Amino acid sequence: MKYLKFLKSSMLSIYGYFFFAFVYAPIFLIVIFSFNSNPVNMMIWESFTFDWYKTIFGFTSAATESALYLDSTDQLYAAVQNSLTIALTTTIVATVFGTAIALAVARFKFRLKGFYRALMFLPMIMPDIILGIALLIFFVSVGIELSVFTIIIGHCTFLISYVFIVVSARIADLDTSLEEASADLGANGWVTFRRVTLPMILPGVIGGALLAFIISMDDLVITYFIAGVDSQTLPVFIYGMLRRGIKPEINAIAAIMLLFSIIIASVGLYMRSRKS
Amino acid sequence: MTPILSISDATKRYNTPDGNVITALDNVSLVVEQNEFVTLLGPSGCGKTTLLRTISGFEDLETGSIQIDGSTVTHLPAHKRPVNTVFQKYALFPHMSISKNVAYSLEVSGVSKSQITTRVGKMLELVGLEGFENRKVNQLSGGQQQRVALARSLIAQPKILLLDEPLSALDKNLRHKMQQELKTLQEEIGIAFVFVTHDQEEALTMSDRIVVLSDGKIQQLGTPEDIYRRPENEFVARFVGEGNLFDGEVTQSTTKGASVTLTTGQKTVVSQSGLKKGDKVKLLARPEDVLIGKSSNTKDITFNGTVDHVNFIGAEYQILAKSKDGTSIKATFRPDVEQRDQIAGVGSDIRLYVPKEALHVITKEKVI
Repeated sequence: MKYLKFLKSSMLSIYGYFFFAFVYAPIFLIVIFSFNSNPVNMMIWESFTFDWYKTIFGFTSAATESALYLDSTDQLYAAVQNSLTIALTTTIVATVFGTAIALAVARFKFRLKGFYRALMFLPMIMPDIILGIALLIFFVSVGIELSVFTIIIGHCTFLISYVFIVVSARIADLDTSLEEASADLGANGWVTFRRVTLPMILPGVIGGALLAFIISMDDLVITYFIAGVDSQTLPVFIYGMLRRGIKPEINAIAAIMLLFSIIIASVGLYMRSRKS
Repeated sequence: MTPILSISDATKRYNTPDGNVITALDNVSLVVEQNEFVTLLGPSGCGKTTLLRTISGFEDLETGSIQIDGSTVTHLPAHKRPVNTVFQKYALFPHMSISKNVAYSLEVSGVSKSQITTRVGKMLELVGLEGFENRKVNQLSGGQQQRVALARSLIAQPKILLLDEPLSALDKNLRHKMQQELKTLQEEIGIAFVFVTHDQEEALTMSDRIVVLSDGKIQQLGTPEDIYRRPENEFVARFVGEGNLFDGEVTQSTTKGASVTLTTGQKTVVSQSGLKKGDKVKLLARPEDVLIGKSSNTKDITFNGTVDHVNFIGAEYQILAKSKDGTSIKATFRPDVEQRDQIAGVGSDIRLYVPKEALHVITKEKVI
C-alpha cells in the first residue's frame, strides 16, 4: 500500500514536470537558439554569440556579415515603431471606451441592456480571420487607405471588449454604497468618479490596459489584413521574414519580445498586489 | 420654529423584474422637529430604508414633497442636500486613510487645508479616535469603523443626520454601548437624527418619537411610551414588544368606558371611550402586566392553566401557560429574593390574572 501511495504521488509530480516542460520548453529553446552562432542550422549548437542581437540593433560583425538575413534593420525598427504606436494609441482608446462602457452598463438602467452586453462580448469570440476580412472589406469599400490608422481602428474594435470585460469584473465587486457615500458627502458625479470610483477600479483598468497592449502588440491575423504597405507591425514583419526561412535573428527578436512581455506582466502583477 | 424636516404625501413605487409593482411608500407624511431623535421602525421591506433614501436624495419621489429646514429639496440631487448619512455597512473609502475619510466632505467643498486639519482632529476627538488619523479602514474594528463613519458624516455639520441601521453589524454589548453614545452625541451636537432600525428595543431606548412602518404606510407615530403602551392597531402591538391579545366584543358603551365580553365568556371593563356596542375588539396585555395569583376584582381577566414553558433570562422569568381550552398566555415577572426558589415548574398548575387597568383596546388590524 505504502509503495502504491508513493508511486501515485511521484507520478503526479512527474506529470506536473512534463506539463511545464511541454509548455515552456519551446519558448526556452528559442531563447537558447538566439545565442547560437550557427547561421545555417540553429538546431546544431556551434558556440555562444551575441551576434544576432547585435545585428538587430544595427551592429554588423564579421561572423554575421556573410549570413545576414535581415534586409535592413531600418525595416525592423519601422515595424517596432509602428507596433508601439499602434499598441499605445489602441491601449489608451480601448481603455477609456471600455471602462466608460463597463461603468455605463453597470450603473445605468436602460432597455435591451442584456443585448448590448452580449454585443460587447461578441468581438472576443469572433474568429480573428473573419474580423480581419470584414475590416478589410469595410475599409476598402468606404475608401479608407490602409495605414497605421486603420490598424488602430481595427484593434480598437475588439480590444474595447477585452477592457470592458476586465473592468466589468472589477466593478461588479465595487460596493455601490461607496459612490452613494461620496454623493452624500457633497461630491458631484465627476468628483465621485475621480476620487472614489476610479481609484477603486484602477487595478481592473490597469489590468485591462496591459492586456490590450499585449494583445495589440502581438496580433497577427487581423493586422495582416488591414496593414498597408508601409504600416507593417512587428508580428507581420516577423511573419514576412519566416516565409523566407527561419533565420537566427528571429530568435533574438522573439527573445526580446518575450522579455518585454514578461516585464509588462510583472509590472501589472506588481500594481495589482500593491493595490490590494 | 420651522420643523427641520417635513415630508408630505410621499409616494414611491418600484417595478419588480417579474412585472409587479411594489408600493414602497404610500402617502407618507412626517414632520421632524429641530433636535429630535426620530426612529423609523418596521420589518424588512416596510419602506423605512426607502423613506430614508428619499430624504438623503438617493431615491426620487413619484409624488409628494420634502422640505429640509423650510426649503424644498424634493428633486435636489443627493450631493446638494444639507443632510449626511451613516450607512449600514459604513461605506468607508478603503483606499483612503481615516483622516482622509473624515475630511472627504470638507475637501470636496473646498475648505482650506489648515481648517480641515483642525476640524478632522476635533471630530476624531469627539468620537474617541485620536491618533488613528493615518490608519487604514481595514485596520479598524467594527465599532471603530462605526465611529469613523459617524465622524465623516458629522464633520460637514449637516442639518439632519440619517442613520441606516448603523448598529446592526455590531455584537450585543457593543451595540448597547453605541446606543448610549449615539444618544449622548445627538444631545451634545444638537441636530436632528433620523434613525432606521428593525430592532424595536433599540427604537424604544433611543428615540424621542418612533414611526412604525409597514407596507409603505405609517402605522403609528408617537413617543416610545405611546407605541408600547397604546398601540393604535394590532400590527404595532405585535411588532413592538411581546403581548397577549384577547378577542372580544363590546357589549355596552358609555362616555367613561365600555364593557367587553371575551370569546372565553369572561366579562371585563375598559376605560376607552368612543367604542360602539357590537364592535369587535382586541385587548392587549403586556406580559409584565400579567400577574401571578388570584384576582380580587371580578372585572380582571383571569386565567387558569398549566405552565408550558419557563425561560430564565437573568433578571426575569418568562412563563408561557396554556389553559384547558388551548388558549395560551405569556407572562414575565421579576421574583424577589424569597420567591426565587418557588418558580412554578413546567407542567404545574398556575393561576394568572390581568388587572383591568392594564388592558388596552385595539380596534383595527392595521392601517391599509
